[in-house]
Amino acid sequence: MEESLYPGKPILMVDDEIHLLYSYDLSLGDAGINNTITCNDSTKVMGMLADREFEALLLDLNMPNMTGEEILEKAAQEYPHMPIIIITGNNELELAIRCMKKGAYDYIAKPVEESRLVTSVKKAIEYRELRAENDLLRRRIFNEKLENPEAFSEIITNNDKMKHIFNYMEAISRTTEPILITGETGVGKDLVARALHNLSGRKGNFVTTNVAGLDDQMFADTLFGHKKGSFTNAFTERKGLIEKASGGTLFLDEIGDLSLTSQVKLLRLLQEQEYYPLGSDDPQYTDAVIIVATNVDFYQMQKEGKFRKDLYYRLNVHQINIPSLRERLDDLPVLIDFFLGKASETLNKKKPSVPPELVTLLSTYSFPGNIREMQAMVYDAVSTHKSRILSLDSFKRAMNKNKEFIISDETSINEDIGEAIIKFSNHHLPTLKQAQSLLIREALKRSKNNQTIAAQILGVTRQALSQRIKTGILEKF
Amino acid sequence: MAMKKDKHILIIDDEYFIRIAYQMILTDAGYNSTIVEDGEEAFEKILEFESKNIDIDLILTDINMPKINGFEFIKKLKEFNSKIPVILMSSYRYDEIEVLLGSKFSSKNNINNYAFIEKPSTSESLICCIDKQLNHLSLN
Repeated sequence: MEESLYPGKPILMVDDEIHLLYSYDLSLGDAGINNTITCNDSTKVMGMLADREFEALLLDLNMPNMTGEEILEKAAQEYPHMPIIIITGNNELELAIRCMKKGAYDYIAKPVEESRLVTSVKKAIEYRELRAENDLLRRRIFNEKLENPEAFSEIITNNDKMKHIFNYMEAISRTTEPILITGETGVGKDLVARALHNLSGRKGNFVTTNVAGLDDQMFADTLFGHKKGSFTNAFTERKGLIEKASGGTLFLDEIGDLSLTSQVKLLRLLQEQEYYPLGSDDPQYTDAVIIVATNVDFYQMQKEGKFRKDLYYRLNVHQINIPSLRERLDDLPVLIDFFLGKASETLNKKKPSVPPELVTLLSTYSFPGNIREMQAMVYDAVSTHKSRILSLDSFKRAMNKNKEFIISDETSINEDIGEAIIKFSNHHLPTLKQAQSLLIREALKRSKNNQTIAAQILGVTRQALSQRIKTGILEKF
Repeated sequence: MAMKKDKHILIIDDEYFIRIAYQMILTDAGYNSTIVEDGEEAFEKILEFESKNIDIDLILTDINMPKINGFEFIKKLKEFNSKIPVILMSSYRYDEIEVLLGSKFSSKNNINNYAFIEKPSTSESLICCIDKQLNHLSLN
């Protein structure tokens, strides 16, 4: 298996002592940074920089011929996007400060420690990635067109909010930083994760797993794998999912319930790209991109101490919030059509035609289960449907079931829900008649003057509603 | 002339990357080498090798180190009546050493007893110096 190079563009390391460069190279390679080019002739550096793009430059200042400081000045000027890390002799603080002011990104003073070198280079790579993304985002904010519309073909939508999200997804597609996808259950977080993987162009696999309900041992075992004999019943070695996702993407769904112990392991994975298979003392490194999803309010959980702040901070670098279905009701027609097609195919029936009121009816529903729920409703309707036109009955039944779930009866409407539905003015409280009138008007508006549907919303029979309208309940204020 | 690969060189330097680099240079040149962090560890190694009846043919040591510096190390070596030749490596110039370590070590006589290399040096000059030292001894 060909090893993938990290980072995407090479790191150029410059020092007059070539064996020192080799030793830096070994240490960086051990930490997963294997895309490096060494140069021990300071006169060749500017030429090399002009030849190709580098991720970062590691520069020793103590060199004969063209000094490190000269190179720094020129490079910082001509290639401002490339972070430059300088290595100074010990006791050269003034030189270090001078160089930082001239545009160096970071400095390392001798004696150079292994961990310091690795951390510094990693930070430079991260910085560079975020800057590049930032530039891309800025350009895209005004540009509506997608570069890779096929990557989004599984996500059925015409909605503007979704299109903005697609633009953002394209901008961050090449990232190696983790991505957090939030949204209610059933909105399609897994589809978004898959699209991100397709956009990334990474050659490895897209590996997905749901971690809700996994205890600490299962979580670690599933993700990191184990060596033979590492615990009871570990008869053979098991490869973890992270290894299967090497060079590709690992998608962890429902991480909201992770225990604090598992959170720590996940954090180390995200911070150091390293993990320990169960039963092993040797750290393994991964280059898999990690995408996580949750339907809980992370911010709240982190405030309550149920979720580690540092892990939250780490996951927050890229966040995609997928709107609920009720926030993109303009997609109802195209979604209904899509699922009708799929259901008909699966159930071996002719695709029924859609009654025009169906969209209106469904647009009054809050869809707590979002698209997954809608798909189930359509499927159910197709399976029970007999005539040429799809009946609305099964939809109504499904909606009523859940309506009871939201507000059971008038006496139990608690204050919170009440306020969410209606805000009472401080000055003027409407009379019962007026309130009724307002409600009827709103219901008719939402149902596009369809009295049957309006009656459904208000919880009365069609006749009762019709009666009230006829007797002139709709008075003006 | 004895074969290079029978020669064993001990390298003392407090910097991790320098140790690795020097080991690479010596290995490329055909020598065996052992690397240690400081004078204390060096003495441990010397005793260890002695007990195994292996000769250390040369010691390459940095001057500016914590715990015990290069000169102090040599002094201690003399106290043990060790005949192992030493090459001192320094990031400072010769005259700066005087200032740093005091006149006690500035006497040219003392310095001339030991080979002295200024860092940064090319690997060629280092190997050259090592070869000279080892040949010089075998001629004796």
